[in-house]
Amino acid sequence: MKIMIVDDSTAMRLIVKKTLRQAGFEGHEIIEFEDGSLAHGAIGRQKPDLVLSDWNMPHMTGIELLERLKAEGIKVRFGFVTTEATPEMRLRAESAGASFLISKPFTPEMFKETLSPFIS
Amino acid sequence: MATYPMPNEKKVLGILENLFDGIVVAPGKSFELVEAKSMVGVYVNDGGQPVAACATDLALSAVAGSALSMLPTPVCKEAVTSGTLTDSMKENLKEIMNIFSRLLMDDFSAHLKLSSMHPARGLPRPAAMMLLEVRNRAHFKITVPRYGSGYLSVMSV
Repeated sequence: MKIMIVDDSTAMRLIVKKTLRQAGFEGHEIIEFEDGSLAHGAIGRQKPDLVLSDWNMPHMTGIELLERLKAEGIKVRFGFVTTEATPEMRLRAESAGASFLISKPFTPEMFKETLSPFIS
Repeated sequence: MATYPMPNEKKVLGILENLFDGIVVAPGKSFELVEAKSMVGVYVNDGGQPVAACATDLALSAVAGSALSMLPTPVCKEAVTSGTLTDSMKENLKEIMNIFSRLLMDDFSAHLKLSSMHPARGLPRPAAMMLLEVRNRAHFKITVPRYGSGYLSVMSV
C-alpha cells in the first residue's frame, strides 16, 4: 500500500512512521508532506491508498484538505492523527468523510486497532 | 468568559506517558519565565485570541525536546549547560506544546489550539498581555528517564 503522512511537524511524521512499524504495518510505501496544500497537489498525482493527516497545519488544515478532496470528487481513504479529539471535532471529522480519528499522543496498540481494517 | 480546566498530575501523566516511557509527574513550583529561560506555547480560542499558555523551563525544554526523538543525552545536557536549545529540540518541543493543548480542554470546555511557541523573552504583545490576565495556574515537575527533570507551568485566563 501507499500511505501518505501529512503533518507540519517533522518529529511527528517520524513518530507516525515508527508507530506504523511497531503496530505491525511494515513493508508499505510511505510518502510525507508537511502541509495540507502540498498534500492536496500530490494526492491526485500519487494516488495514495491511505492518508494520515494532522488537523492544524499552516496554509491548509487537515479538515480543509479533506473537504476540498470531497468537493473535487477525489476519493481516498482519509483519517486524522491529531490533538483535536473532542466529541465535537470527531463529529466534524466524520461528517467531512474521515474514516477515523486517532488522538495524539497514541500507542502502537491504538494504531493497530484503528488501522487494521484499512491496511492490508 | 470561557474557562479552561487546569490539569492535575494524573492528566499530565496520562497525556505524556504515551510519548515518554517511564515518565514521572509530580507537583511543581512556579518559576519566573524569563529568568528560567522558558519556552512558552501560546494557545488561542476560535476567535484567535490568546487564552492560555504552557511554559517549560530551560531544563524541561531540553529534556522533552531531546527525548521525543531520542537525541543523545550529552546533547541534552549541553543544551542545559549552554542555555541554548538546538533547532531539533525546538521543533520537537513545539509538537509537545501542540499535544499539551489536550491538557487545557475536556469534553465540556471551549476549544483552543496552539498558535505559536516563543522564548519567554520574545513573546508577542498579545500573548504577553494575556499572561498578565492569567487567573488559573498549575505547576508540575516532570522527569524523563535518562534525560532529566524540569518544570512545566500551565496557565489560562
